[in-house]
Formats: sequence, structure tokens, C-alpha cells
Amino acid sequence: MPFGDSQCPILKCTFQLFKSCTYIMSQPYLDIGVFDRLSDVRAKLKRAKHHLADLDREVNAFIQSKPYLIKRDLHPQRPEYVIYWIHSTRPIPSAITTLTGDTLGNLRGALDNLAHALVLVNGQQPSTQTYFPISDDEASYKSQAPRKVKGMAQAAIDKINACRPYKDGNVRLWQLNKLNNKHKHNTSLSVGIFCEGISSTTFHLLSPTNNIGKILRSGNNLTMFHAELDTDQFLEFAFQIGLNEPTIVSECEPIGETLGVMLRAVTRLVNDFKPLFS
Amino acid sequence: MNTDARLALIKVKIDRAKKHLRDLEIAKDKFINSTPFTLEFRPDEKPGHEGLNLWFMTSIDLIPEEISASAGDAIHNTRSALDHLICQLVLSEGNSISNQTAFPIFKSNQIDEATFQRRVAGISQQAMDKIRTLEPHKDGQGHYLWVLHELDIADKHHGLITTLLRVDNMRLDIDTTLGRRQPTPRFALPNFGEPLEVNKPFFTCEPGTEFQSYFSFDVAINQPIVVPCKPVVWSVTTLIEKVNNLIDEFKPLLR
Repeated sequence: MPFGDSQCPILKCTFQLFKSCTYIMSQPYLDIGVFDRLSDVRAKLKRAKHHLADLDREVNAFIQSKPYLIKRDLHPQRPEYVIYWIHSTRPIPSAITTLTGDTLGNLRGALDNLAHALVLVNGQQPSTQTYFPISDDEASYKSQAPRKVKGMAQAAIDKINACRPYKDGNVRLWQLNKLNNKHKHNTSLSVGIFCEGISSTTFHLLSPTNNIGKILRSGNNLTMFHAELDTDQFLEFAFQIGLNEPTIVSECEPIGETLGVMLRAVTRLVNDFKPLFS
Repeated sequence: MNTDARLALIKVKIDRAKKHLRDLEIAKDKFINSTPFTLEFRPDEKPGHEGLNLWFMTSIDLIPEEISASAGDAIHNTRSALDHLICQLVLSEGNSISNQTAFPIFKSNQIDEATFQRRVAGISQQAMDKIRTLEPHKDGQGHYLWVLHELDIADKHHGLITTLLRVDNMRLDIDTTLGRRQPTPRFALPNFGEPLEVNKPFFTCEPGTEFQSYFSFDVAINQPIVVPCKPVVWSVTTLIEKVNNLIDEFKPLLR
């Protein structure tokens, strides 16, 4: 059965009746309550949460497999000190970037679904331009947003404006948008291993290098300290996976945390719009 | 980066789509196997149908959102694979991708040249010509690309891809044992292939025939105009396979 068979216009009407399937066919089209209008949005958020949980499992499994080789050597210029450095890291499984992409896609989709619902609840028809507007800066936002929110009630538009969905306003929304666009259209997101902390069993200064909290590459030093203090039980390193997109996410943080913050931000935002659907 | 490395980066998206397809199949089978409806019958009052019974559903369970969500993710990753193909074709030529770089698919029934050029800027002439021959627009040779594009937009902007229950298959067993052959009972399948709805008859037959009848049901995508009531697993599988094959055709152009 090839795609593109003849259309059946009645299907759209019958689908709406099915979706509110507590109603029998003889009733006219009824106003759908808040639950149904936002059910698609909620489904996207639920899907994002599902992918995020899978991502956390993948990251934890990868980190626990110790995908790095740390070596220690005497400092070349100061041999009384020992340096710990990253010799090599294993490639990060593609599942981590694809799960990140799926999470971002569903979060962004939740916002666009919300935009769609805001137009419908105002009795208007969404267009191909209907999106939740997110821009690089306030000037771009003021220029681009009007066509994307066309058809929404003024109260909804005011609420979106109050979100300040641009980099200098709500940075998490801006990051979500940039990361999602990059993953969807261009190239896969770049991720890397970073050391988020070192713990020691003594109070002696460790002199951690400024590679802590940054994406690591082979050859990067992690820390150095006096050789007399160097034992196998002395140090513990905590590693994590973080996004390596410095133009978008400037600070290294665990990728699950980055996406978790975005999920909470979008969920709160959606909840803020609920009164507009009652 | 060599050809195989570039291809592997693109195929990550296809592999992800296939993973979502497997989730979709599991969720769909679980739903269908749960017998998510109740049936009743009433006499058929249509002239000429005297003595026949009309069978219809009195309730249909809501289709789990996991089905639409998995289908949406599979379609999104498949669509994204095409954009990544263009990016790798640009990078193969030593050029830079832009925020306009994407696999061009057109809503109308022809290619818009200005948009086409923006989307594929930086790829080789050979790749450009190859994309043109695909006719990536509505009613073109690449009509399935238009379907994929529209479903992706629908899922992202308008809500979940609509899914409904439909009759996929019907079998009527007739005893043909020598000496016991029974006459074929009268039956009909009104609305076969259409979405099933509460109170909408899907089977009419002589009393007793229902015990010889076997139906298989399926969950369908029902995106008006784009994919009217087609099995969701079949639709997504077909799209993934076609895009996967298309990507393989471009392999010689990835350097």
C-alpha cells in the first residue's frame, strides 16, 4: 500500500471524537478540558523524562567501567612532586549522544506543542509558523516572535514574553534550543569526560590543576602533590560526562544535570500556562 | 575523516530510529494483545440485510501514548539522519555547514530553487544533481520523503502523531470436509481499513458466523492527507528502510 492514497476528510473529525472517546457519536464536538489540551505536551515531557532516565543509566554504567587510564609521574622540573595525568580515555558510547538528542527533541517538542495548544484554545488555527519562540537575543526575539505566536491570546503572548526566552533572559531555554538545533540538523553533539572532583585522605594541599571541571584530553594533568604523600589509597577522582559545547554551555556539569535542569524549567513553564486553558 | 567514518556518524541516527521502532513494536503488540475493546451486536436494519447482525465496538481503550511517542522519536531520528547526510556531504567537500544546511524537502509538488540552494550550499554538484533526481516533494518520486517530513512536523508542532485502531486482517473459516461442506455464510466488512470507532459497525454477518471469524487489529497512523489510516509499525519501518537505502546511495560521495 503506497503512501499517498486518497484522503478521507472525515477522518479528522472522527479522530477528534475518538480522542474524547467518553462521548458518543451523536453528540456535537465538545470543548475539551485542560487535561486533553495539554495531554500532548505532558506526553512529550514524560518521554523526555524517560530518555533522561535511560541516559543516567548509560552514563553511570560507562563511568563505572572506568573508561580512563590515569598515570602518575614525577614532575619533570620538580621531581619531589608527583603528577597525575590522563593517559587515555575510551570513546563515549553513541547511546549517550543519541539519548541526549532525544531528550532535547522531546523538551523542545513540548514547548512547540504548547504553542500549538495556545493557538487552539484561543479558537484560532495554528500555522506552519506556530512555534514557541526562542531567540539568540532580545532584539531577534522581538523581531521573530510575533509571527510565531500569531493566533494566541494576548495573555498567552504576555506570558511568553515574560519568560524572556533568549540568551540574556532564560539561558536554559536558549541552551535547549541551540543544542536541539545542533543535534537535529547539523552534527552530533560533542560530549566528553571531565573530572568534577578529587578527594584525598589527608589535609595536605593537592594543587589540582585548572583541568578540573573541564573536558579532558589525553595528556591533561589532573593534580600534583609532594611525592612523600603519594600512596595508592591517597586519591579518589570523580569523573562525569559533560557537554563539550563551550559556545552554548560554558560550564562543565554532568550531562544528566544539564538536561534535568532543562526538564524542570520546561515543566514549570508549562504548569505556569495551565490557567490559560481553564 | 574517511567515507566509512562519515557514514557511521549518519547511521547513528538510523540505528537510534530502529531502536525506537523496536520499542514501538513491543508497545503496539502489548496493546493489541490486551484486547483493548468490547464488542456487541444488533440486528442489521439495512434493506436486504434482514437476518444479519451488525458487530460494533462499545468501548475502545485509549491508545497508550508510548506508541505515539516511540513512533514520533523514530520518525524524528530518521528525518534528522537526512540532515546529517547533507552536513557530511558539505564537510566532504571541505566546506562549512551553516544554520541553513539541511536535506531539502518541499511541501509543494516541486522544488523551490532558492530554498534548495540554501539548504545544499557546499555539497558537490554531483550530490546536488542526485538529490534533484530524488524529487523530494509531494507527489514526486521521493513522495515518502515528504511524508516523513510532514509527520515529523506534525509530531513536533501539532501534537502526537494520531493513532487509531483498524481492522488489519479478517479470516472466515468454512468447513469444506467432503460431505459436510457448508454454504458460505453472508457477511460484509463495512469500513474495512478505516479507523474503528465506538458504535461504528465493522462486521455484519449471519448469526453464528462470528464463531468462524477471526480478526486481527492494528494501530494506525491517521494523519489526514499525509498518512490516512496506515499501520503505524509498517509506516515507520518503511520510512526507515527507504531513508537507510537512500543514505547508502550517497556513500560514494562521502569522502
